[in-house]
Amino acid sequence: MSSTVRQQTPGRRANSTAQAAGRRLVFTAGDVILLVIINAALVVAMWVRHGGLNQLGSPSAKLTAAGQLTALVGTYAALVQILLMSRSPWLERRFGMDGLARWHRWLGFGVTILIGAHVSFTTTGYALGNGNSVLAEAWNLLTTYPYVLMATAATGLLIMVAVTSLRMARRRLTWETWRFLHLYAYLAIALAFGHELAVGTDFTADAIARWYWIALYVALGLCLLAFRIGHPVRMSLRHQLKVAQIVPEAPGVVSLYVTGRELDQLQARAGQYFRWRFLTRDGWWRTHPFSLSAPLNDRFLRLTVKGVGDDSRGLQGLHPGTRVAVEGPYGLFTAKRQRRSKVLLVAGGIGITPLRALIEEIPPKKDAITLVYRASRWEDVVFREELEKLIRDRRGTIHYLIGRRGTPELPDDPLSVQTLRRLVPDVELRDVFVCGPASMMQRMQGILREIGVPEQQIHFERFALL
Amino acid sequence: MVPTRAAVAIVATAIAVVLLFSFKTPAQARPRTPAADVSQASPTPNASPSPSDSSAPTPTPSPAGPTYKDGQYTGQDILTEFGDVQVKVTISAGRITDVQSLLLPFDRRRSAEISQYAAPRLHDEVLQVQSAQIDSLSGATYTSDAYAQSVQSALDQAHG
Amino acid sequence: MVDTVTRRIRVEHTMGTAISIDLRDPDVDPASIEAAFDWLRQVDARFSPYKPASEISRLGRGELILDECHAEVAAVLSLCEDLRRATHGVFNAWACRPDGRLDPSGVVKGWAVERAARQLEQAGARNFCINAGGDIIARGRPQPGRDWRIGIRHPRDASALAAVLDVTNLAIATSGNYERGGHIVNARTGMPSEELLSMTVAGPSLTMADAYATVGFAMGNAAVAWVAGRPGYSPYAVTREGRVQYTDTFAALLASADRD
Repeated sequence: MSSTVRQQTPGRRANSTAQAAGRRLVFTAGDVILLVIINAALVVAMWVRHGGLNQLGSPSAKLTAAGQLTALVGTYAALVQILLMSRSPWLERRFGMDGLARWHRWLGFGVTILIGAHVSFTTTGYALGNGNSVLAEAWNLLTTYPYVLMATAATGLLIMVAVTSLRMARRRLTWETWRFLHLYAYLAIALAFGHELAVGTDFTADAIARWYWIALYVALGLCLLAFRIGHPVRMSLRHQLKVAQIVPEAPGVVSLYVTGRELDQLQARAGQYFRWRFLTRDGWWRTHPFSLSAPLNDRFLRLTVKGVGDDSRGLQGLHPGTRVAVEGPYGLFTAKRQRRSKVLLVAGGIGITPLRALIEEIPPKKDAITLVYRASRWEDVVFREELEKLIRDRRGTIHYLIGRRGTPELPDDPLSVQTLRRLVPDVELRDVFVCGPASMMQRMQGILREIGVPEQQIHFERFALL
Repeated sequence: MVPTRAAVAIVATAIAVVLLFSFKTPAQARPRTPAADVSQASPTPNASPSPSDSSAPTPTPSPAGPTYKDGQYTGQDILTEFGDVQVKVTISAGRITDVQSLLLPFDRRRSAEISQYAAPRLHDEVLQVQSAQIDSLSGATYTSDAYAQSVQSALDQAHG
Repeated sequence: MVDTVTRRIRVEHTMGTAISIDLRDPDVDPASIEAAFDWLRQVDARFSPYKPASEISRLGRGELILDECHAEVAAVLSLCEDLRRATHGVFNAWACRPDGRLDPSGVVKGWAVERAARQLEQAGARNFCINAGGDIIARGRPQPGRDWRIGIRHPRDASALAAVLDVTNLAIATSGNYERGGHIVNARTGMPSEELLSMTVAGPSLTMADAYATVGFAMGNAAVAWVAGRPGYSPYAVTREGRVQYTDTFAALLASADRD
């Protein structure tokens, strides 16, 4: 019996992926930044057009004008904040989670300062103009201007969110508490909306300005809906993921094998991560950013995590059969960033995870891959056989740097300029991918800079727990 | 399912939000419709307490607000932001069941005026900036701190 | 030969604003100016809703009844009531402040200054100009051969003028929110007015001109036609879009361009 076998050549498969990717990549990072700046300029131009710069006669007029401008810019910035944290995969692919998180942090403090300034300027400006004391004017504003009481509550919430996000405060709060309090920022933005339209001098008489402002809110709302709710729900329904197996790898470290449908459609590249939501009784409400520790295939997803069973990580209660929801894939830590023909992978502890996946996407030329694996003890090394087989097959090199710093056997940090130069003499000619604890990554940054590895060849995977 | 503290916080927040929304400034609380002027449409209030209560005057609990004789009333001309409005009120079973505003478009009202007396011609131009040696300046009330920087104070100080 | 012009200007701060009296009659006793200011200060003490001890404040709090107040209070309140009816509630001294305080300020200033002007006339003055925070009574002439030249402040630029008038024996009042923010409120809606940038009314009585300017400003775009309908008073309104609307009667007051 003869049968015609349809062969899907690898080339064709790669093409369709590229086509699919091409269709999505319509906007670049630069386009997004441009859009944000143009709208900011529009907002300021609207204020100027309404006569903002003309009415600067008396001190009270100047203060009131400053109050209007800070309100507009501050609220616009708050909307941008929502955009930054919308968990849009394509935003994160363009800017990286750490980039977005950094922007979010600075912009967040900026918004709080601007809104605080708005409240102060407006109250003082009105007080001066009406001949009242500031307190009397504040009372007047609260009790007689529509929705201002709500807006004041919003300001209070915003200040609370900012204060609890200061490093000093975060150290005193559990992550869960901080995260919960941070969500009040959404409520703040919603509560302030009423007074913006009812009392904002730029909106009460200009219908176009009013519609534009509403359109901004609607656009952001849709963004939120699509990426925070729509995307995860769609992915859950489509892939129906479940924990199939839990395999211990090292003390405190397990690999989770997750199965489901249409896994290859997840389109994750090695080195990328998903936000995992394990639908356990106590942990369903939070997500964890974990990288895949094996390249995507159509049978399972593997993630390797530390701290399962540890109550503080929210990973307790995991067992085979636990349903899983994912969002993503996210991350820029992929082989796409490789520019040179050789790479150096530097792993610290559990940071080996994305690097283990990455190995299989590096073109397997001789000596193309060098892996430096730093861990405190030999028991903490995971995937040892896997790694050695992969590296051997690719004719690469592994160097293990094991031991606790500061012990008699290891007085100095094994990760140093000299060690690296010795182990990897041609490091300047390699793309360097680093993943590990924050302190280790910071040290590596200094080391690589000192050696003189060009910035564009250095790639860090930072997990900000957001 | 949800940590207890979080549940408490969520409920407390919900209550606070409901309270915030229920706070109305006087401007919001004031009725916007011209129905407030319906009283000028000379209705007849309903009958007084029943005569059987002659011993001790027990006030009959009246329904909220005044009650009117059934029918339709057209109120007097009321000036609103949109122009002159006449209100037609329908009363049935002693209660206001419908308020209709018979909106007279502004220009139609003006044409009615013209027939009564000649309406003055209106100039409509672009605002210019003038300059002149003036004796005094008319402007919106300036508070003392604005006066100091105003043109008027300069005028007052010149040859004062 | 050079004409010397005697000019006596006194400026006092009362009623929440600056009031200047410019007297051009050389033979009138300057003490009459002081008396006029005394009168204005008295009005402030009696009528200011911002002074807790004023009769208006005490009346508003229920500490006094109308019969216990000075006769002038009744006169002013009766004026307020007339205006309330005439404007169908757009002007409403009992409902223009959001906290419900009685506030006849829209009428008091014009009324008080008009009284002050009458006092000056009784002292023999024929040529003077009183400017009370932008509301003006211009009597007679500043000097022989020309009328009082009054500028209307440009609503967007404090150092410029929107219009220039040559007037005699006229009251001019201007209302707007550009100095003090949204303090003029349409008593029917309770919201600050946004359609007009400023509203000027010229006419025989400053009391009415002041009231009509305030009401007109609160009314918005419908104001010009409304004021035009008041016999003897003519409007000049600057809209938010930067257009001016005024009647022929007002146009007759505008200074001609060649006389500068």
